[in-house]
Amino acid sequence: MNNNHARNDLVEYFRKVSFILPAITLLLLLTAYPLYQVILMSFYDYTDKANPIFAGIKNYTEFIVDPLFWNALGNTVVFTIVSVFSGLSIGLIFALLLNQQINTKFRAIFRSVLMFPWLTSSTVVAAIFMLIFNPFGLVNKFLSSIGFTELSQTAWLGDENTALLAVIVANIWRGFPFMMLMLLAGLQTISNDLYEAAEIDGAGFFKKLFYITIPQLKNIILTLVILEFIWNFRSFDLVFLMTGGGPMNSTEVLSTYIYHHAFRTLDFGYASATAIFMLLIMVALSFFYLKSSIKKEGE
Amino acid sequence: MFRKNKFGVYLSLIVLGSIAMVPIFWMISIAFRTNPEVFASPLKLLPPTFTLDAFSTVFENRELIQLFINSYIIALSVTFICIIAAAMAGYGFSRFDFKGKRSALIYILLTQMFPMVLLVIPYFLFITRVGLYNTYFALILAYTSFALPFSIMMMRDFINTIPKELDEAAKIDGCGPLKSFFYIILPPCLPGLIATGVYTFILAWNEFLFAVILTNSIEVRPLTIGIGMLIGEFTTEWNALMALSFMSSAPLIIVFLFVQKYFLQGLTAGSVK
Repeated sequence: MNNNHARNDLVEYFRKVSFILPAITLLLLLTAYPLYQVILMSFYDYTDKANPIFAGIKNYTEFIVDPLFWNALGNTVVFTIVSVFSGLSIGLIFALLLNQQINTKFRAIFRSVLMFPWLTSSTVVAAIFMLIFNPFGLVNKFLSSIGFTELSQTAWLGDENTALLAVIVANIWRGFPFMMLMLLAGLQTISNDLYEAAEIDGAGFFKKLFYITIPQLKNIILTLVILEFIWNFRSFDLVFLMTGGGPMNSTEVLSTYIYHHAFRTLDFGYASATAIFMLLIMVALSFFYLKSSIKKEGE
Repeated sequence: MFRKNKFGVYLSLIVLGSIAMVPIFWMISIAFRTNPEVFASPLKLLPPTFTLDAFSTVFENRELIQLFINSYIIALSVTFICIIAAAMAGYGFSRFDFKGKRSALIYILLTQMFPMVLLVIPYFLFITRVGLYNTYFALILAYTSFALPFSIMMMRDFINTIPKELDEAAKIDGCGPLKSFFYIILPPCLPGLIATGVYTFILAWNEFLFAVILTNSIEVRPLTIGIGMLIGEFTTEWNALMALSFMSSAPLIIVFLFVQKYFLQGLTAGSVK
């Protein structure tokens, strides 16, 4: 009797989880198992590729003293922060403009067209911006035509002072439309009454922006910042394609640093240890996001 | 917010929007030029001689056409698998309470944080060991795992917006969970399914890193690799590179224009509250 009851419970449980089972199985197989492998590999020495030997924390102590690792971490932080906040500002400007009471056809066209950068692949974005930042490219032609003769000689991607900036510009261009779209959706939920009341009180544009719009968008901005932070922190394609991390490591980010160690020097142990470190930074920095998401689930 | 000055709004949109579209405009302008005119001096905004040379260079190259076919096969397979798995999981997470639900959701959130470059090393070793190196299947598996977490969350948020009373009514009428999933939940979910599909297709169509590592021949490599290789080789044939870039972006843009209404609904169902 009791046994039968337990069996029914089990059947009921499987009936409930059966819907999530295919997805969860795939995810565990394709992410949890690899993660376990990387953790394991990070403790091995791959000098002899065929017979890796256990090396304790050697890989960790090695990368932590590598100045090139800290250079890559610094570049990643700059790349991420500048990309996220510029993208967010540009996205907000476009979202605010599109949210005005303008011709609906006009708005629909602009909203669609402004999404194009987000739809192009990173390889295409890299190709376009390499052409634009070419020493004889559009940027320099434009600069020389408005009188900046000296600046127009710059080889943007070949100069260690400007290469990171050029890659970031390409990255912002690809990233802003998604933020624009989400912010616009958020703006449309703000009641017009708030603005009308503020106008009666004589509030100007910036007062309304900082006291109504941004506070009302707080949640969506927070979510966007964290998502974009994660996506940019781990981004690889643009840097790899446009500069390969050069010149003189000036654009090397953590992803390309790890890639070079894994697939150029074939030091899987060292690369794994660095990748684990990178994952830990990301989890630590998005801790509050995780915490608030989990709290939401609990409700 | 600045309703008094509509003219200013239109003007700002046109000016700023045009600046934002310069790279797209430039890609198209270069794609329709002859190669010597790519760096024409002084600057020519429009092609001095309008020509389809660059496109015929691309079409005459059978390898590039093969890359297109590969990209479609891979991206469509990933989209198909992902829509089914994500819709089911979204339904499960939205409607049922069970032990381990919270841990499963936390894990899904966590996977969003995995650096791709972290996963690519064990994938590479695993895929070579099981003999899937340089197959469509290797990439389909990998891309499915990237697209699933966000897709599941999107579907769950979307299904959350569908009233529970509907399932309960169906239950009273004798519908089991599977039946009510197909007949009650899926039909109003169309925008969510489209959003998931578009998101997944874009992700799979545009991926680069795993394609570099997991494949090595033209028979299975996707288009992104083709463009990536041309960036190296073709540096003298910018017009062909831009023509290929244009051709690779066009399908996504066309699909997006048709379904963007649903896409917006699906994408923002849960995140804007």
